[in-house]
Amino acid sequence: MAIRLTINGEKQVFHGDPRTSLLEVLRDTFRLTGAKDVCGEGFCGTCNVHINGEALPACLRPIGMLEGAEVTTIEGLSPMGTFNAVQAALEKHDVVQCGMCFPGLVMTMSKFFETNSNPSRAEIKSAMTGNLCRCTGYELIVDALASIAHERGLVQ
Amino acid sequence: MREEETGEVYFANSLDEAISILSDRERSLVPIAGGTWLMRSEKRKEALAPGFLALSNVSELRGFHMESNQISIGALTTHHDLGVALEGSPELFGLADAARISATPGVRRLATVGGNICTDGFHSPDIATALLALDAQVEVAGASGTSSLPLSEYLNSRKERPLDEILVRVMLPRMAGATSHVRLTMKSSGDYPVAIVSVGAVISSTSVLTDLRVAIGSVEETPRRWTALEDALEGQVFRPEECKSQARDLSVDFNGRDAVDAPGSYRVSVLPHLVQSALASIFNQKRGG
Repeated sequence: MAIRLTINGEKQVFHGDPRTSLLEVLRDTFRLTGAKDVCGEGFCGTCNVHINGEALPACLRPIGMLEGAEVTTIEGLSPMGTFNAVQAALEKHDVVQCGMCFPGLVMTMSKFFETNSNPSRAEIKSAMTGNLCRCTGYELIVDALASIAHERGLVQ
Repeated sequence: MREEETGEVYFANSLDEAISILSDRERSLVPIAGGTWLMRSEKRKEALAPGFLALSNVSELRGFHMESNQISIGALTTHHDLGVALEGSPELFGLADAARISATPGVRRLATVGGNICTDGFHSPDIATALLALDAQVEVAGASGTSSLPLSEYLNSRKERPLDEILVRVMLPRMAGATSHVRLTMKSSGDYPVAIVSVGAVISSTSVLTDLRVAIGSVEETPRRWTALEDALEGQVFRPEECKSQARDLSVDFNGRDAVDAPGSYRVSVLPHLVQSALASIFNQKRGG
């Protein structure tokens, strides 16, 4: 069975079992290993990607349901060599630890900031509930994300 | 990747087509909506279904309609969309809360109301428990036609229901009073609850509880109403400690399920406190209003 979809702006075709998860397809077929394979249950957030404009766990999406979908992974989030606001804040505040959770976290929070440009710390934490950090660096991550609105001049 | 298996994902484009396909036993397709349960089959050491019948194109399963006497929620409504749709509906605060705090944000954007009700093996369904406290009815369609029945009856008959049956929508009567939804998780968020208490009631100006509805989820395999407690508290003045005490006395009603997250006895033991919290919440809503 052939599934046609767009990944990071490029048209791709997957040939294989349509029940295969998008996560497996991204990692094993297209070698896009930014999305991590951890819990496999939609609870850790390490495999979050954008599917048709929503931040979703790739492990729970059968590829056969994604015919014609637009998928963006961490590899395609920003032009090569550039950062979006979330990536820049995390880099500037030097909060990246082991890095396992960061691709999924960046995908989740990049989408979040599209709809809420000036969130409170509570709103940031609420949006992050589906992204677990095994290094437990949560407060520094929240500090970095909270700085985005400040640096955009949205907070006095 | 499953290189040796050849699965199938077929999209039904209407309710009639979906029912017709499910009636074809040789195809053995399993209906899939959000997929948050089916895609975890292997984690439960269960075989992945040989084929999926995708329902996402079935327009009859969509829609949210709030009318003067009834609310209709299409089976494909996601938890996220339900939470958004219920903003500004104080009498449905409990259901809205259930929709907004279940699982994780990503799962809430996928998981559907229909899936939460139909998934027999999932023992901690926030939405189904909240709907029980709202006297929900479900509409089902199959080869023999369309019918509706109480949600409680549906939940208790899931193992025996026809394989070609599809849950179309949930219907809620508009009710007076307030509702709340309380759950205990081992982490503060992003976890399945050990126990769920969803309540609805009318509280009079003299703090008398009437039309009390108490639904319990995650404690036993299937959510259910706690009718013994409802009967005991109906018409009583709301006194938090007395409610908790009555709940403690009546909790012998429950045979808690043992699982890796908590033993059954623990699930039952936390119920009195959760009931007290849930009732206090609707009492505070009334005062705040």
